[in-house]
Amino acid sequence: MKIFPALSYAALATLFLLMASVTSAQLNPLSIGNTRSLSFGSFVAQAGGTVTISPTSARSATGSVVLVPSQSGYSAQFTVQGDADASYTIDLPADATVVLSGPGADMALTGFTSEPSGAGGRLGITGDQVLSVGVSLQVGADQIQGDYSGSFTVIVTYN
Amino acid sequence: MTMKGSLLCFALALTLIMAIAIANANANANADSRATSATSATVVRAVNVIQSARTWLSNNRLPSLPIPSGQASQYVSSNSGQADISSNYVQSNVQSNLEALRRRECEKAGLCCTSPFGDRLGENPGKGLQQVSVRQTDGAECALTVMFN
Repeated sequence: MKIFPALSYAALATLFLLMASVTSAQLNPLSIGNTRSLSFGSFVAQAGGTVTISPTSARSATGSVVLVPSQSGYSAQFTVQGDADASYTIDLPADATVVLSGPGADMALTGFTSEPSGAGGRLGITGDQVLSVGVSLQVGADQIQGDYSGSFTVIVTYN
Repeated sequence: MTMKGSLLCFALALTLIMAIAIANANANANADSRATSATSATVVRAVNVIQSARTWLSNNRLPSLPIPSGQASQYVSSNSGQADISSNYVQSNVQSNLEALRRRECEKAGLCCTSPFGDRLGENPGKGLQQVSVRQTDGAECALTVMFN
């Protein structure tokens, strides 16, 4: 049949293209969902300082801030999903671009950290990974008592 | 156009469509994803022990405020009186323990420190003042211990 060579050529080209694309690309979009909000817990401000929550939820204070142990706070947690064993990069907010607002002056968040961090994200064999985020809160002198709140966004991208 | 040419064009067009579809799929897969977390903090007042108008702590240590995290602050009374404990903060607890410093002598003499709350104040949630009254005689010292928990 005379048309066979043309069809074969086109079919082979398509097949190669498909194979090359499938082997080189992640076909599952990367997704991330927030599963736990970040809380600094309760503390006394006094002359001000910082309250830091680590990605492992360890809390510490500097300056004259006094922590209240019964309300200890915890880090934020996200679940990242995509292709199994794929690596990805985590982008966190820059310093002082996020604030907590409440009855007193705004309190800025600085020094976002995460576990994993940077370009070190890697999904497991089931295609997911837990991402934990911590940060420091800048507490002003004589910060007015009350509840403060805000939000921040985490971005993940395949490497 | 010949039959062969038409089929070739069809095959090439199909290839092109699939290539575009794959490119779009890859572009979607490589797009970033983002999620937002809420974050919160609660600023509270210090736990405070206020010397009342009565005679509590009349000749003893002045309160050191605020009480450090995880530590106790102890005040000693050598006479009867009353203390006001301010726990004007939200969703936290204050525990106080009232005991005789020299309990053995106190018990032996039957003259122990007492308060309306017994030896332990327990939780003190919410706002406002909580009072502790201490009665003792015969020179026995009473200690009031206030701590975050």
